[in-house]
Amino acid sequence: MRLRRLGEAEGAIRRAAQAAQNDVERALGCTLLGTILDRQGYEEGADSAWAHARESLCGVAASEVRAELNYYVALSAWRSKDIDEAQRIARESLAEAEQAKCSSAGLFPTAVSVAFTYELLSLIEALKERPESQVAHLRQGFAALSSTARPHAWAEASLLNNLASVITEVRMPDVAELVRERAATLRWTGEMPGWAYNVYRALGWTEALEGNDMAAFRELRNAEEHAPTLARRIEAILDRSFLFGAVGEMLSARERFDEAEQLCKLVDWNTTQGEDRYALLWGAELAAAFDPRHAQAMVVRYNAIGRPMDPALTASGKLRRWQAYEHDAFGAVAAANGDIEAGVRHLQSALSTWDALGFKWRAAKTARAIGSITKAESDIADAKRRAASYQRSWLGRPA
Amino acid sequence: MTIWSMFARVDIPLGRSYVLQSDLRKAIARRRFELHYQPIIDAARGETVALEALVRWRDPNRGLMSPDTFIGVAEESGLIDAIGLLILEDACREARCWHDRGYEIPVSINVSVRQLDRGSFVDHVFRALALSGLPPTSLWIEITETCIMRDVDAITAMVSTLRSRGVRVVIDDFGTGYSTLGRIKAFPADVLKIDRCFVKDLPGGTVDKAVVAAIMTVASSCNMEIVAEGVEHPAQVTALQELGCDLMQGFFFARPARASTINFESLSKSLV
Repeated sequence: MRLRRLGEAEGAIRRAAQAAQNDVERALGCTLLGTILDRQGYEEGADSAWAHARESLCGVAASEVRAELNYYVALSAWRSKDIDEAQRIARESLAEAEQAKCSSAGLFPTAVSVAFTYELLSLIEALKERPESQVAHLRQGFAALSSTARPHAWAEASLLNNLASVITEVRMPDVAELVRERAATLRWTGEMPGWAYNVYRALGWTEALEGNDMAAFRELRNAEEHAPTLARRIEAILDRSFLFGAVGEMLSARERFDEAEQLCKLVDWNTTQGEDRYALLWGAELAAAFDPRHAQAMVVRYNAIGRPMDPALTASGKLRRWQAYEHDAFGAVAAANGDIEAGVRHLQSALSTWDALGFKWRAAKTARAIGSITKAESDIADAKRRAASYQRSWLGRPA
Repeated sequence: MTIWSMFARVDIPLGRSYVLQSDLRKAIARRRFELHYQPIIDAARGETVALEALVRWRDPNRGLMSPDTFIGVAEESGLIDAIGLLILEDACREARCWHDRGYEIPVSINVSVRQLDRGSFVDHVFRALALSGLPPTSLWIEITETCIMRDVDAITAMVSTLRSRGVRVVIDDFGTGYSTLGRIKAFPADVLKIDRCFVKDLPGGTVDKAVVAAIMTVASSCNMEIVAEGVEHPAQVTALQELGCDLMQGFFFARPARASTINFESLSKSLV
């Protein structure tokens, strides 16, 4: 279903479904047709096709097809923000897949369907801001894949990508180890550069937080090489600039920043997708330390991006994580430009979000920024307390 | 209309019925229907003899909807075929679940005219039974009196096939159509449900009493069991028992409920 030329696929599947010889073939055709129509935004056509698939499957022992149908319907529900319904239908898909194990007709690699269904459940947990449950579902996805005789790189990479998003923010050493092991053996293909980037970047930050700076630089360099877009490459370069600064290599930090800045000029920010725009926020936050005016200009540039965020990223209605990134950057820039009150207000707002989400290292980083602005003993003590778990890392070193 | 023409991208005026159709289609795709079960009680023995499956549509915007709000549109649009099949399949599956837990209570489902018009109906029933593993003797099919009278020969043939395999056939809403007791006598059914309109005014309503008594006489001569629908008061129970009718259904005994919320243990003690 991950065909790029949806129109062609739609025609082919429509013809195949019309020529179906039996209910199972018809149901399968309608399932895939519905999925393509859904991807094209033709919701009613998708519902029609899926309703026919359901009708064709009534009384038919084809749990594999039912599982597949339920997965795509659940995915569609998730995209349209019907989270509870998506969860219910995804669970029905898993129940059908379980049934299919007992009566497999060999129509599908059911394990892959199961893995994707667990991934969908993990995305639902992500929207509910429950990282532990998110990870639990992704582990179940890996377990499903391990039951297949043949490795399925696409499914595995997709699961890894989702795990990476968790370990970037929440410290989970055992999960990070799992990601590291799987990433090392996975055969990354040209179709999944964004996932490879996310995985290597997550590993880079994880290593840095454990105090393994050399490994962190290596992973971040890997991330840069796998960056799917120029904006993401800039982000990875800025990561290294930050880390150089954090370990006291100010010259290298500035060199990396200048490199990123040169590349920034080549990006048409108005056409960037989703979180690509984070590079501007991140750049502004870093620039605040040595060029407040330039940092302010980056914030202005960021705010001028007219396109809304990717709907998939804002599926929860409010993306608190993203708002906190903004507060971190806006706070640093405001304070550097002399507006201490606004700066601290932004940072406090970010801090309370990080606390609410349980993103502890982000909270420690923000608390440290607050302490360095206010110089208040209580703020400095709070920052120290929060950094205590990361003594070996840059967070444990003096600001 | 072939099923494929339903996918065509055409401009259709957005009337209320169209919106409802569109939402119904989504409801089928996303399985938004749920079955609520109402017991049919043997008042003499205090036991549940069957659970009638009643469909509800749980719409995210409209809430829980009863069939009268959508069955009309479903019939007009042809979506009733899919809904009917989903009900059949779900009812058989859920009944199999309570059977597995040791409660061997039959499930009774309502069938629409359109479903019967489809030549494949009997086939679908047997497929649903086979898939769920529910014994045919644990399935009751309710067909309205009006439905039977549309095409007696075809329906009789269909019903005979179902009964030959053990499925029980119920004539529903009896008394609301235009059939005579004589015609019903010739129809191969196992159970006859007296419409609630004859029960409503019991124990008064001498005419209703006489009608119920007459139906009882004919039905017993054909070895048909009788169920009185719409029983809401203890006085109605007494009156019906005096007339010799022991099988009853109505709010007096229980309101329809999801299978997951039914206390099967207490079903045999429904008469309090």
